[in-house]
Amino acid sequence: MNSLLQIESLIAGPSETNIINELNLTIRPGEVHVIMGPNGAGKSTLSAVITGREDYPVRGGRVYFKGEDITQLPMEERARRGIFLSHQSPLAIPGVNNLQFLRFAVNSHRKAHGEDEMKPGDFLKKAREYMALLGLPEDFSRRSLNDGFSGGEKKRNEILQMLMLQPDLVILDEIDSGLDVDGIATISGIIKNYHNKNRALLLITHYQKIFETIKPDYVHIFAKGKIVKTGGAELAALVDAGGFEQFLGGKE
Amino acid sequence: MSEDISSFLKLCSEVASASPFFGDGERRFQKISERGKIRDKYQYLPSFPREALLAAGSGDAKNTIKNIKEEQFYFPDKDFSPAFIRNSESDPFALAAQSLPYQLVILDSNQFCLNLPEPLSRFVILVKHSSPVIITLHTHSSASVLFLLTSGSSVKVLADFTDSWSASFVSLRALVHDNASFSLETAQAVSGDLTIDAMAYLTGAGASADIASVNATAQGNFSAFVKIFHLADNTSSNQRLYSVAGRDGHEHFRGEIYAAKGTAEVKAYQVHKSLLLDDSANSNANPFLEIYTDSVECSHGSSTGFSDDAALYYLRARGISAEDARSLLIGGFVADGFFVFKEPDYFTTSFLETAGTILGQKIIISEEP
Ligand SMILES: Nc1ncnc2c1ncn2[C@@H]1O[C@H](COP(=O)(O)OP(=O)(O)O)[C@@H](O)[C@H]1O
Ligand SMILES: [Mg+2]
Repeated sequence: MNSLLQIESLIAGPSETNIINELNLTIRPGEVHVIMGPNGAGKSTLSAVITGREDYPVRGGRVYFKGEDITQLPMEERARRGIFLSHQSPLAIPGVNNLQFLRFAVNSHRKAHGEDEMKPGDFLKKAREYMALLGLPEDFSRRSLNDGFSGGEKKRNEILQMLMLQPDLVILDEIDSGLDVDGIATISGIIKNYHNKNRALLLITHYQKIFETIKPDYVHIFAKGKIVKTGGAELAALVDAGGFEQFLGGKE
Repeated sequence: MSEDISSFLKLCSEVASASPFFGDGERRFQKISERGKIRDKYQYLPSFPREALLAAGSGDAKNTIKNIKEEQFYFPDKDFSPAFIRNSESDPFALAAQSLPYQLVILDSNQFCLNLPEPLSRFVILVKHSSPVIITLHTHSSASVLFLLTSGSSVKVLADFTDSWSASFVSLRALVHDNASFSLETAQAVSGDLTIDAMAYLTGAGASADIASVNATAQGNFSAFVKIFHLADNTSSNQRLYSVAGRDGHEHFRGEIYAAKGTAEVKAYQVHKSLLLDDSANSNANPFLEIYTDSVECSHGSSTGFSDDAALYYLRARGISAEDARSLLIGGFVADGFFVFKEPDYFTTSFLETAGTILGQKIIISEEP
């Protein structure tokens, strides 16, 4: 089957530092990939590069999405084509209404696909439905984007955005941080339901808790800017038992 | 003039002559742009009417006294506006200011529209109405207004100086007696030079002053000088100023809090935020605290941010174009500024339009859907 996301020899990172260095990764529709790696290795940087952040410029290699070269494509265009990142630490933006922002986002997607704007009533109905599913309080429609949200609420809000935008590639950067055990169970259930044969998941995580619900097809160990080892779920167990040292090929 | 008003005026004149702070700020620096350079210029205000108060207290006949009861809208007498002395050898502002009479308005109506005559005017407004009074204030030019708030009165002043001429200087003073509350809400888009110089004297126990402002500046200077004097127990104040500066927009803020010796239970808060949209824009903020009592709860904070890349990325990562993202973020900043306004609807529509025009940037406020 054709790849959904294909990364070839990618070199990228902020201000002259190649935090991503010669990285290769292929994700096909329907797959679940997991990236594990030490703190500060560059996992969040990788996810930001995939979304097209201009402050993390690409200095080598290529990124393809649904068969097209998107290496130079602006962020918003990538999002509209179906790339979604649930941020590790979602940013608070005071004064910008949470749901109005989301309506804007939904309509930007629709416009890009030549569709009419969603009717405000339809939008609200759908958003409320998902908010209830995620256990988000009613007053979320009144609040500013992530402003004063708890860690868990921020993560749920990211998933609300995912549900409304219906992306094909979902990158979850430490979705489990900030959520309590029940929260992780709820959210992973929702993500599992969302996932289907046309959609792929890329999970960045330190914990295996989430694998109880979402079964990974591939586990990658990320270190020194690239993927140093790829395996199945058993690799995660090895990390748990012996840390990352075993994969790094000796001390620096 | 009724007995209570004259006794109140007498009290005011006593305060005026006794208070070492009164009359402060009659001559102030104003930031003026000249051929792309900013320079300080001494601006002679139509000065703070200490003598006006003294005269009013003694019922001096040469001053007009208007007793406003029924009229909702009031426009000052024509002959009350002296001719502007242009091209004078000496400073026209100084001359005009010195020769100006003041007009005393006794307000017994709960809505009042003060359209200040041009070019310079001095007003004393005595508020005796017991229910909250809304005063809308407009001027094209420099003006000086003193609000006298009798015990327990409450005034909301809504002021929009968007249409002010270049180099306007607006001086607002409030004398706030016990349990009276003064609120000033102001929003404007400025492309010339505008200075708002606002001071509140909280002279009676339980008095409060709230000053909230949202501004947009491009190719000009917006200066806000705010000073609150806490001169009695249990007084509280809030200053909250938000400013967006576009190309060649310069914002100057000086926010002062004074808490007098021996006062108790003073609460004074100050927030200043500015958003710079262009490399040529700047903002400088100077908070000053003069606190001479231990019984005070006080906070102040100032932040200046460039249009935030991280926030732009967050919005764009959801498919929103860079242009719309910018409009939403500026709108978010502005909405946050209007958040504490009690009468935001009076300002928002026209502010978004005029600010959008001078900043050359669409501003989108995202309200709850
Ligand atoms: N904008 C930036 N400028 C400079 N260094 C950065 C920037 N963003 C991240 N880094 C650095 O890149 C490295 C990788 O960070 P990150 O991708 O967040 O790691 P991880 O998600 O694997 O913990 C860290 O050393 C971090 O300090
Ligand atoms: Mg990270």
